[in-house]
Amino acid sequence: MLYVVRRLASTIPILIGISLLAFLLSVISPGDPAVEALSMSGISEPTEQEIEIKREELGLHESLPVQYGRWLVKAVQGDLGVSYMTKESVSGEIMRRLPVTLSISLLSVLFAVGLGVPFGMLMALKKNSWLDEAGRFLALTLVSIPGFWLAISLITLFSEKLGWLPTSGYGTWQHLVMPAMVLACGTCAILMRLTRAALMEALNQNYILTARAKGLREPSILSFHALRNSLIPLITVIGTYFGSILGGSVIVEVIFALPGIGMFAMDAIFRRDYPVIQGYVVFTGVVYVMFNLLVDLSYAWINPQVKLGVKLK
Amino acid sequence: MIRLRLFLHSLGPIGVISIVILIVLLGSSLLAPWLAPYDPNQIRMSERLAPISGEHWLGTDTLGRDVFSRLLYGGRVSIMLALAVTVATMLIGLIIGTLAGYFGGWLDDVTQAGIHIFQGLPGLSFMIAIAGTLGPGVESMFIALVVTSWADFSRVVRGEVMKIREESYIEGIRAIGGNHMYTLIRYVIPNMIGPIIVLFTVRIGRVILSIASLSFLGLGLQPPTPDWGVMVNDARPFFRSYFHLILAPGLCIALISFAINCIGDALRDALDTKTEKAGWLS
Repeated sequence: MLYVVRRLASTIPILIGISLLAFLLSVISPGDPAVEALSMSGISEPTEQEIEIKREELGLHESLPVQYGRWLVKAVQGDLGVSYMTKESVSGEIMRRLPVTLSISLLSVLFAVGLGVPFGMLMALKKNSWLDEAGRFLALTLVSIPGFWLAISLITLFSEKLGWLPTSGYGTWQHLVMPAMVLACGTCAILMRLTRAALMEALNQNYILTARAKGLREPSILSFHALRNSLIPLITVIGTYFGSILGGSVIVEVIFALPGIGMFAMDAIFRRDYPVIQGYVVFTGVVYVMFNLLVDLSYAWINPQVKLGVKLK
Repeated sequence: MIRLRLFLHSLGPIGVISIVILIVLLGSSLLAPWLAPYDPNQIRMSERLAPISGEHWLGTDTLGRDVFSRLLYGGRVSIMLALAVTVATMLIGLIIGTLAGYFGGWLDDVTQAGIHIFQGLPGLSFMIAIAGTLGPGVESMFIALVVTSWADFSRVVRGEVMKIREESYIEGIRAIGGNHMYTLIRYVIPNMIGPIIVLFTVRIGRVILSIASLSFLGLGLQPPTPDWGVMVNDARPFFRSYFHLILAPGLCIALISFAINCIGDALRDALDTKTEKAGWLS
């Protein structure tokens, strides 16, 4: 319990820091937010007076710390301001688009785990064989391919040439396959390597030697002894990457025209819709931190040593 | 020497090919002004979207510019920018990480808090937000990339320094009267050259990919700059009939980042077997 409280408390300064960074984004922006907001309301050449009124309305006359304080108090209550463009609440807009991003993220984690873990296991079992070498090559390729290029290539192959999958848009499960494949690449490569390393380490442990000495057969050694112990850390890794996939879906959403939060953020960037950009940064940051928190807590639950503060290697 | 042999051994055939790829790509970028058959920005509307031919080795793009010439020029800005970003990141990471790891105490607490905050933001989303807010261009990309990668570098350096600090030879140097500055510069930093070289290499690969992604999204290098990421974006409307316009620049980005990652892996095996998380895993 003490561990849970301590871990929870440790996220508070991180969350405050993230909110401060998101707030600072509007400070570093070259334009005047009041002018941007007005121009999006259809007033392309606002008068001095109109700008003054808008500045007053947006609270831009206050000092920066006061502005930040006000913004933070609202943000904590889930109010991330109002989009200049749509005139609707940013948090509402994000929530409305979240299912899209969530579904491709979930599917991509499924792909990454489904391909990365078995392949990594094979690599560990057939260490230094051609299979291991091929896996190394595949993992390197997966982290090196630019996602946007892979996405266009997949569209060319599966949509244009073969006609199996729709080019872009959202609606059916077929729309999710290619975006999830592109998003899965990096995580898949990492999982391949981590699985290989974890399983190889587990196979070197004394209890495996004992199991072999007892005369257990290889398949049962593998499944009951080695795998169980090496896959626990992997589960936690998967959790961490899910958080970052959720925040990294922008490119995929833009290419496949998926109306998720990444696309929303991109639109906002080109329209200089600052509340939305800030809201996006805060939201992805909070999700990422929360996932890390859950991962740590679940890890402590699985491995009680963590709670006692024992240093893991 | 042992390390060099270890490096060559862990390179393997793929690694040797990687080195060749890297030399070719870097060499052709460097020599582009002499190698390019055409001016990469010269527009010839009469020759737009010409097919592959002896005259235009990779055809021409939608504005009639020679694709092969643009390809030769296409890595120059990205590679230089990636180098500048990585050097800046490394300097910041070295200073912050070394001081925090060596002196500990409140300095370390403050640094750790900063690292946690910056690592709490998923890299890509924050990078896009910064680059987008500052407006497209080389300077904003530089800032966005350094801001989103200094924490990782500092964390690894800090970890290395903390390990080295506990070694008995450091205690010995302190005991015979070496001051902090001397110990740091003469002993601590030279002892983590290995992990730093590895991290530096892998980072460059990642930064090149990030630059390409930003340019593709329209937040990085701008047309008409001959750049691989920009070229892919330019060719997007024509990908159905002119896929080679996307294939060629995309392949260049993939090859250079593959080569760098592969060399980084071999360097890690040769220089630093302990920090397995220093690479693209982190």
